[in-house]
Amino acid sequence: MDTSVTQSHGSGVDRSAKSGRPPVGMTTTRRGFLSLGGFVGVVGGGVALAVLSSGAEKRVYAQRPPGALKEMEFISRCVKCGQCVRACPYDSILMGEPGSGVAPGTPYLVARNVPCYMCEDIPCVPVCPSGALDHGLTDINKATMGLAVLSDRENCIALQGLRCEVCFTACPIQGQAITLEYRVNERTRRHSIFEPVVHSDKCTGCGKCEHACILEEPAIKVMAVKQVKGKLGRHYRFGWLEEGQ
Amino acid sequence: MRYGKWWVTRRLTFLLILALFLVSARSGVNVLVGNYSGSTFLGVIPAVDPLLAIQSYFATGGLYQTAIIGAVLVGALYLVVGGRAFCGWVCPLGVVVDFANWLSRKLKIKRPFQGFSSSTKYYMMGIVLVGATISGVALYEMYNPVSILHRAILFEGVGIGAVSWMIVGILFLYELGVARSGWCKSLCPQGAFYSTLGKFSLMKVVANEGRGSIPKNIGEVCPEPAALVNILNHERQNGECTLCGACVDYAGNGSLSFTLKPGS
Repeated sequence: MDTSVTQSHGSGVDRSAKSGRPPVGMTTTRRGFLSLGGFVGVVGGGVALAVLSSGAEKRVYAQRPPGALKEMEFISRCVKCGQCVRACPYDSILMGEPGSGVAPGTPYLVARNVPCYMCEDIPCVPVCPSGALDHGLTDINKATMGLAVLSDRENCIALQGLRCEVCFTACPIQGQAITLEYRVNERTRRHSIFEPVVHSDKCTGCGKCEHACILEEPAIKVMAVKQVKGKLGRHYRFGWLEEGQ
Repeated sequence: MRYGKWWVTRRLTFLLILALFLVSARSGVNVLVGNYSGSTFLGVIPAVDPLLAIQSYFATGGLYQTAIIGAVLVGALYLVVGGRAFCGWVCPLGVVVDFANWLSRKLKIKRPFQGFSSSTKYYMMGIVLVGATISGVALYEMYNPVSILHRAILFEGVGIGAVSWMIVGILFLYELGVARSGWCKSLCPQGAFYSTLGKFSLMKVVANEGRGSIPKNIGEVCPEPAALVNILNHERQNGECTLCGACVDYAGNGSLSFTLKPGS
């Protein structure tokens, strides 16, 4: 199927088209494209590449734009064209580059710098030519870009008994994705602790809480859902939840 | 003439496409939004790198409709204008490599290596596709130097993305000091895909009898010796030609010319 010509030597491509014979120093060889050696090479190389790719799954998970498919499918579907990056009116979406820890060419957000402002028309999704951002997402409140976690309970000042509520106030799905739970401050016994609690069924992972956190390093962070969520074994039954049904 | 009208047309085409991408990326104008991997022309016409779409399909088993349409449109375009016209006229890495080659010649650097055989790139393409199928991840597209370069230009800006520039730099040095057209002709899987299209494409360079003689040292200007031999021998097109027109310019007498005809 493939006609390959053995290489000429640099500048010396000799021309003798007029005479109709092949140029000096050249032979035309016919070689099957998938010779045994080639086949072994291609499969072997493919396996090597696959082994390399398996490392991708162990990478740091990134906060993805709204509608992003599951991580592995997302990074393979994405054509890395950057049209979502450009569509974002807040420049929230960045493009992964080699060495950034995020799959190169794929879009991601760094909420601490610029969170997702959850535009109602979700301009980043319809421009995606690959469907890596699911065009079925029409309600931004149903997005799962990640999940906020109160990751540092030791430094969150609300948990030390100071009034803060900044993440609660910043949350665009206020009173649902983050609620404040009150309990007695055991240290003073006179005050309350207002603990911010994230509800995974409502949190879109927009990152406004992380962006707003007043600490030098945020105590609340958006992470990939897979990184954060646990999974109950099937043998665990919450009887009190079943009673109501 | 070494830098004749085709050279000028080719460079202007390259600059025009790059400028359209840059202007669209940096402003609200919707002329050519995206990059060389995927874009939207005039706000409606999708374009997607076909090899990337195939990798994506092999990795995930699915492909979104826009990606299919975009890949088919791009494939159809290069079936008309010549498969590796992408390499010669559009690819930004091609310009970097051409510059390295120009510099290498100016500095009279003796390049020790002929480069791998032209067919090596087909194996590279095979490896990329097999790898994507087995792993379910289109890994190559993340490190494809062509993509890395245009993403760096369009989205990271010069000076950022050190690793991106390092990868491009390695290929620059490879061209400068090791092998002529060492990446493009021999190794680039994307080139292999366009070469495959080029076996069937309409636009091609042909050698014309009785239009004067072809310069003896024509091989000096052709980046793809396998293509030149192919043309001079009047063989069935092997798809290696990048349609750069350097030989057409250099001969300058019509002995070599572009033609838009099916068949050889």
